[in-house]
Amino acid sequence: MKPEGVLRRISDSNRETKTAHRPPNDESEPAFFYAIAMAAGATATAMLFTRGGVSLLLFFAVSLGALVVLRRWTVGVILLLVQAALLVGQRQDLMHRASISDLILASAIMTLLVAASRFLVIAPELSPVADLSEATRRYIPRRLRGTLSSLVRRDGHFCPAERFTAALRILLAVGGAAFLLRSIPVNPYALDEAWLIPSGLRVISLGILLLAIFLVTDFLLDVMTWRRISLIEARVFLRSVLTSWCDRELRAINRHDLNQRRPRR
Amino acid sequence: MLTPRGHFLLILGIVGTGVGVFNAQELLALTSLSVLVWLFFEWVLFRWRADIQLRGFVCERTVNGSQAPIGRFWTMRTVRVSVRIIPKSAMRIPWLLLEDVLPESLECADEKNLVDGHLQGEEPFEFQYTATPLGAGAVTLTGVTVRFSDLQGLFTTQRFLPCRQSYRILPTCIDVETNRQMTKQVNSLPPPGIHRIQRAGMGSELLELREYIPGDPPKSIAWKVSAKRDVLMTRQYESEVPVRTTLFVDASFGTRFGAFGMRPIDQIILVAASIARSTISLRDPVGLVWFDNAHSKSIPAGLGERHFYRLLDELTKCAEATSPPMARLSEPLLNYTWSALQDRRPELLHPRTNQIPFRLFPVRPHLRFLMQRRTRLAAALTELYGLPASASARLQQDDLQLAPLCQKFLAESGLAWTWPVVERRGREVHDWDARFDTLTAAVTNAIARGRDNELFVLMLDMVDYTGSLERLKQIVRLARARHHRVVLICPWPDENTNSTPESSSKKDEIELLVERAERARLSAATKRLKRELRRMGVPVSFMANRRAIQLTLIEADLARSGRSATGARR
Repeated sequence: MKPEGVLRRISDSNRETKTAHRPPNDESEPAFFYAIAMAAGATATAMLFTRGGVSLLLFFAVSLGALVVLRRWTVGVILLLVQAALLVGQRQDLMHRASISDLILASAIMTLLVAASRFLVIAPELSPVADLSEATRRYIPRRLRGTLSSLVRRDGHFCPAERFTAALRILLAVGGAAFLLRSIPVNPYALDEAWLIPSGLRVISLGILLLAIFLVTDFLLDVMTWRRISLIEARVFLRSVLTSWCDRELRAINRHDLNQRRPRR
Repeated sequence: MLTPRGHFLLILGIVGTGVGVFNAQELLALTSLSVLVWLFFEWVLFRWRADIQLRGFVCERTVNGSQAPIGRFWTMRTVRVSVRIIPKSAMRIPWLLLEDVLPESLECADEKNLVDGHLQGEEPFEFQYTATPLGAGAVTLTGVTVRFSDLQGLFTTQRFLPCRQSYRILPTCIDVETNRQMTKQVNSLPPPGIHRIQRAGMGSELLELREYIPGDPPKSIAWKVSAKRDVLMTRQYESEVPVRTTLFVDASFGTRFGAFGMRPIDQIILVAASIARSTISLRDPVGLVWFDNAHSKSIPAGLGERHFYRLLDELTKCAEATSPPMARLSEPLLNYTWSALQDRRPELLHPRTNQIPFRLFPVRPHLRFLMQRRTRLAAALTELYGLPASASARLQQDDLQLAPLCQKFLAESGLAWTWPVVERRGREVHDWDARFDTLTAAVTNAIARGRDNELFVLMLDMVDYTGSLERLKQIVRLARARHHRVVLICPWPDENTNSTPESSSKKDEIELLVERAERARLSAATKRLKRELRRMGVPVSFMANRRAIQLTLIEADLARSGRSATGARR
């Protein structure tokens, strides 16, 4: 028997398709271009692999399979393919510094990623909000789920301001990354000073630096945010924090009370 | 906050940077680190917008041209709503999705209460929609949900802008045509609201002539007839009385199952309001008694517009009053409370606000998730209902205390939450003995207060009753013994009104079989009720609709005219 009211709305799939906010279907233009780009990327990666003497057919099949599996990961697939190509195709050189051509190439890749993620938001099946993990999804009403999956903007065009900000972000990202890499150079004496191989020390240093930047920024944003929370949020926070301090004792008291209430045989 | 796409890019960025730096592949490291820096910039911008700019919004709602915090709606009459989101300072938000959260008793056509757009500068964002109230009761428009995402789909969040307005939904009435004769059939017309009845009384119309009995007023002696017959004869006049209608409304929890507008209580209230309207327009007094399993409340019979609005007000109150039965804390109840709380008050469940004490156990992710969910739910409900801080810990462990709070929250959120949280045919919902006790007390009280020849309209949700009808028969016998008329209106449950087995071809076989079985059960129950009550001469209607109103008005006409049946002559 079907449930009623909101539960009917939650469980009735037919009703959902009738809503005005029904997302466009998977055959939309950006999704089509995305599929073509992915196929081209898979072929290119397979070609790179074949340089190492591995069968073209095998890797083509593997790439296609991976494409099908990773289809929902959308932009991540592009990055994964690019990273795989760079990992296989690039020569290892400890003393190599990022040149202008490297910066241009990184900017091009970033442009591809930003553009792809902007356009692929339009296709609902490929939308990140459609990829909510199953554990979360189970407790979200379908009505709400439908809303989340339609969390997309209808127009697929960049406005001039958007183009400008996107370009600025790409430049900042590549410039920032180059600055960070340059600020932590390879230490040839790492083995003597820290008993670590030079590249290992660089990884750890970079990791600590990135973590520190993240924590400081998060702290500053938290400080600014906490001053703006509403009264009810502040009360919930205080209650939950105060309760957590004596959580163990309260649980013990409650357990005792509940055991007392339970009828004895 | 981070979407799966964001998560995946973050992981790939970290792994790529690590591998690139470790393998001394500068381009790989540069590309991956660029992704991380990009994500970082987007995150900072997103948090700035979500946590600082979005909190600077003010929401204003205008309903039918008024921004008053309280007001009144009528069922099935369209309401125009206009919502304005005003930023406190200049800001730029490229895209956001706004939803004015509506309770289920308000139906919005084409879901126009959900719009998307962007904010630029200090320009307010405005949208309009129309909604239709479905059932009588009270509704609260709590506020607007703002869902916000960056244009690349890396982060998403939800905020709630409170804008509380409370409304009472009064029932509308149906105009029903009856077969009332418009031709004048009697010599003298009694004043409006007074009806002649063929019993001896002090009216103006002659009923019969009879022999004089000592004590009869000399004024009533018919001298001419007495002279002809040579016996003293007395004129006996008809009685002229008002015909009172008393509506007995079943407001027990069992009548609240179904979608708004189709619940038995909505059907009953619609019929009751329509009967009251028609009867009061004829200047007949109407009274109201509403009862549930434990209490009853009565409004004495009265006349006039003021009394009619008092009746509507009382009917609305009876639609609001809910006393859900003690329910155990089931999985659906917990799930739907969580969903409703996420929808209505997402800020109270945010991990940064609603913190979880550290516990080692349970270790399994699913159990851990359930534990965290219950802890957050308990803390939020404790705050919403102003309970002491220690109650939060209590609610985490005590199902008996958490279940009523969940029910209360769902009911206040305006959701039709009953099925499958509470079983419609469950014993705890239909306490028939208690209900018949209350009804008997109410009817006895009405009979004790009333005069002869009144109309009692019993509006009872009885289709699920399978026990003996002796209690109901006793009530009917008691009323008929004092020459009152009784009509029984039994609303039909919502779930079988619209769906037919033919129309639901997509349903699976088991579902169809269950539906057919339910239909057959209801059909058998109604046949039995009809048979038993018609044997006692009580008209019964099993659809609380226009026909039920007509049936009641016909019965009221009969009571006015003093006839026993529609075909009978005076």
